[in-house]
Amino acid sequence: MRLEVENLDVALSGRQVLRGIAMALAAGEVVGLLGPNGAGKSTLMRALAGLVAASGRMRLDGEDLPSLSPAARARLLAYLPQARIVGWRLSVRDLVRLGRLPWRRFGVSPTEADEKIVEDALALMDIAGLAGRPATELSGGEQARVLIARAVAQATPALIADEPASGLDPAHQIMMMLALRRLASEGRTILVSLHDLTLAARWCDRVVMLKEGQVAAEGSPGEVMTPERLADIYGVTAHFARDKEGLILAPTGLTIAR
Amino acid sequence: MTAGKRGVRRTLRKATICLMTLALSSAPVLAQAPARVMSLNLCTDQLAMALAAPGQLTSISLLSRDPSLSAMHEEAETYPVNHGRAEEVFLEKPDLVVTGTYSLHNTTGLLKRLGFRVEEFSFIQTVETIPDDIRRMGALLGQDARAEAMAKGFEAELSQIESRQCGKQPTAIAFEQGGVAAGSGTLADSALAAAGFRNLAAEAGIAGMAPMPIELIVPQKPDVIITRAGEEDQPSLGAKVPYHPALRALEGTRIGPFVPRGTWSCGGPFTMEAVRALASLREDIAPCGETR
Amino acid sequence: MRPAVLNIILGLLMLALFVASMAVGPAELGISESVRGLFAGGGEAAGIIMREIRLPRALLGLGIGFTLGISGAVLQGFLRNPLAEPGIIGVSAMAAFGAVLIFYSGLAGSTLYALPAGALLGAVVAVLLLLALAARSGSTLTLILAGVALSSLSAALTSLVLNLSPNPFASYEIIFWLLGSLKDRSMEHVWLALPLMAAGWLLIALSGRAIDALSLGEEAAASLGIHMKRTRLLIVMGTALGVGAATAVAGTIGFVGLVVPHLIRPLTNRLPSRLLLPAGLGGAVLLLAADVAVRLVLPAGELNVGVLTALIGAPFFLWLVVRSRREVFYAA
Repeated sequence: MRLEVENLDVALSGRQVLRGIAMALAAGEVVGLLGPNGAGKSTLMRALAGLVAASGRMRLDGEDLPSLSPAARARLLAYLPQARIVGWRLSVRDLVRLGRLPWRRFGVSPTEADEKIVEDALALMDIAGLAGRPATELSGGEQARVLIARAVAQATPALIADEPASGLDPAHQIMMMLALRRLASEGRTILVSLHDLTLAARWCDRVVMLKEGQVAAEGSPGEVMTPERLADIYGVTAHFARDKEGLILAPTGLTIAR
Repeated sequence: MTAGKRGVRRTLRKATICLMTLALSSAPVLAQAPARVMSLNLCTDQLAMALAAPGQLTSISLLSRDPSLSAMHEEAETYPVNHGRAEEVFLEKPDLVVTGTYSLHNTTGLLKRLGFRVEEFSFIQTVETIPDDIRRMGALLGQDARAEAMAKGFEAELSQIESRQCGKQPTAIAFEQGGVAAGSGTLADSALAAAGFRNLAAEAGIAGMAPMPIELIVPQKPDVIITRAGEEDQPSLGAKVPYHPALRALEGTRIGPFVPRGTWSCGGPFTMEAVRALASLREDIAPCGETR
Repeated sequence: MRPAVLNIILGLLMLALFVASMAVGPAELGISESVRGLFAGGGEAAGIIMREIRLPRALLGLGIGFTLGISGAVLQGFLRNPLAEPGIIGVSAMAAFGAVLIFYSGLAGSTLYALPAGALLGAVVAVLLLLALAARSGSTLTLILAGVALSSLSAALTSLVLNLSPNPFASYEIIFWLLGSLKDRSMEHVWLALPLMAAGWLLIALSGRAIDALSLGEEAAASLGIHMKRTRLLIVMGTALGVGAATAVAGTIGFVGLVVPHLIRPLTNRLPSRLLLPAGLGGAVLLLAADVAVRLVLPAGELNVGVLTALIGAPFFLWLVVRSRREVFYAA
C-alpha cells in the first residue's frame, strides 16, 4: 500500500514543528527517516499515527487517515513509540498478543489465526524462546524486540517504528533491519527512524532526511547521504565505501564549523 | 425490672435528695441576693431564667437558644449569651456563676481560683430531683418563695400523674442521636416511669446513655419508640435510625417525637410537659378503664 | 491459575462470607430460625431481623466490597500505578465530603437521595482533578501526594460542615464519614446504592480492552485503536458512580481497593482486564470478612469497619511503598 503525505504542518504548543512535509512510500519499501535530534522525526511519526493534531493530507492507499476511526486506523497502520514502556509483569507472549487487539472483539478468545500471527512475530524477532518470561525482567535489547513484535503482530499494511534499533547490540541491530526488510518483502510499507547512519545507508531502500521540520532531501541512501549534506545537517564528516551489497558509511569526526 | 423494685429505688433517691437539701439549707444564708448572675450551662440557664428577677441574670450559654435542646429557647433570645469561657466571666464580673458539674470542668476550677463564687448543679437529673434543683436555684437567686411555689406545683402534678398509673405498663424506648437509647438513671427513664411506661433500654441493662442495637429492639416489639423532636430541618443520619425499616415493620409500634422538643434535654419546670405528653400517650395506648 | 478456577474459588468464598454475615448479630438466632425468618413473610421478629437488618447489611458489604476492589484494579491499570486506589487518591474522601455537604446543609430536605447525589458529585470532581494531574505528570509520587492533599482537605471540610451543622449531634457522625460503617443500613440504602454501583461495574468492564492496551503506555494504546477520551470518561464515570454510591451509604472505607488487586494479581496473567472480576470478588470477600469481624470483636460497641480495613491496609500500603521501586516500571 502506498503511504502519501502532502503539505503536512504540525504545531506543538504554538511552535511550528513540521512545515510542508511531503513524501510518498511505496509498498515493499523500507524507508529510513533521518535527521538530527529535534529535526521532527518523532513528531512526523506521531502525526501519522494520529497522536498529534496535524493539518495537511495523509493517505494510505487513497484512504484519508485522519478521517478514520482509531480502531480502523489501527488495522491499517501500526506504530512503535520510541519510549519503551512495559507495564506490569506481562509474559512476552501476552504482551505480543496485545497487537491483536484491533482485530478482536473484546472478551473473545484469540483464534488459531491470531495465535499463528503471534507465534510468527515472536519467531521473526527471535524471541520465541522468551515467550513465557515476564517482559519486565528482560534486557533492554530483548524488550525492544518484544515491543516491535507487538507492532508486527498488529499485521497492518503499514508499520511505523520510532528508533527500534537504539540500544541493540550489532547482531540484533542487523537482525532488526533484516526483519523489517522481510516484512517489506511481504508487501508492507515500512517507515523507520534511525540515528545510526551506517544502518540507514546499508539497509534502507530509500531515506528521507529532515532538517528543522522540513524535508531536506529524499532518495536512495547514496543520493541523499552525501558528504555535503552530512556536514550541513549533522555537522559530521564520514568515510564512504561500497561493496556489492551497497553503501558503507561511517561517521568519522566533526566538521570544522562545529 | 418490676414496679416494686423501681419504687424502692425511687424512695432511696428521694432520701438522698432530702439529705442534699439539708446540707444546702445548713449553708450560711446570704445577707443579700446576688445582683448579677451568669449561667454557663444549658440546664442552669433554664432554671435561672425561670426564677431570676428582671435584670438579675446577665448572660446565659449559647446552647439555650437552640430549639432542639432548649425548651426555653424563645426566652433565651432576650438574654445576652456567653460561650462558657473564663475570659467572658472575668470581663462580666458577676456576683454568682451557676453551671453544671461536668461541663467546663477546667473553667470552673479556674474561676474558683480567681475568687468567683461558682455554684455547680449535678448533671444527673431525674424528675424527682427537679423540685429540689428548683428550690436550690431559688435560694441562690434569693427567689425562695417563687421557687417553692414552682417546686410544689411540680411535685403535686407529678404525684397526680403517678397516681393515674394502673397495672398496664406499655413498653417504650427513648432514642437520642444515632441509636443511643436512654437507660437507667436518666431523666428520660424517670419521666417514662412517672408516666407509667416500662423503659426497655433500662431493662436490657443499659445505664445512662448507650447504643442499643436495633436487632435487640425488634424481638421486644416496644409499644412506643420516642425520637428526638425538631430535627426535621436539621438532617442527620442518627435521626433516621429510629425510623429504620426493621422498626417500622413492627405492627403496633408507634414511632415519633411524642415529647415536646427540649423538654427532657434538661430537668426544669418545663419537664412536666414531657411527663404530661407521655402520660396522655400512655392512656391512649393502654387506657386503664377498659379490660383487655 | 486458570481465570475460571480463580473466579469460582473467589465466588464460593464470597458466598460463604455472605452467609456468615447473615448469621452474625447481637440477636442470637438459631440456624433454622434464621432460614425460616429469611424466607417466610410476615412480622415475626426473626423475619424482620433477617430481611430488614442483616440482608441489607450483607448485600451492601458484598456490593461495596466488589466496587472498591474493581475500582482499585481499574485505576491501577489505567494509571499504570500500583499505588492507585479510590481511598488513597482521595476519591472516597471527596465523595464523603460531597454527601455531607448536600445532606447536612438540608439543601435537599432530609431525603436520603441527597447522599448519593452529593457523593457522586464529589467523586467526579476528585477523579477529574486527579486525571488532570496525572496527565501533566505521570509520576507515581505526584498522584499519591495529590491524593494525600485531597484526602486531608476533604476530611477537614467534612468535619467542618458537620461541626457547623445546626443539629448538635451531627458532629458525632464525623467518625462514620471518615471511617465508614455498615451498621444500621436498610434495604432503602441497598436500592439507593446497588443500581448505581452496578452501573459503575458495567462502565469499568467496558474499559477492559483499553486498560490492557495501556500496559504499553498511552501512545501505544492510542495506536492500537484505543479511544483515549472515551476511556477516560468510562473510567471517571465508572469509579465515580461506584465509589460515590458506596461512600454515600457506608462512609469512607479505605484500602480494600489497594490490598485486593495486589493479592490477586500474581494469581492472574497480570493483564489488567483479567484482574477486574477477581479483584471485585476479592474486594467483596475482604469487606464481608471485615464486617463479620467487627461484629464479633466488639459486639456491643461495634468498631467501624473502616477502622479495621485501615488497620490491615495501612501497613500493607507502607510495605508497598518500600518495595514499589521494583514494581514500578518506567523504562523510557
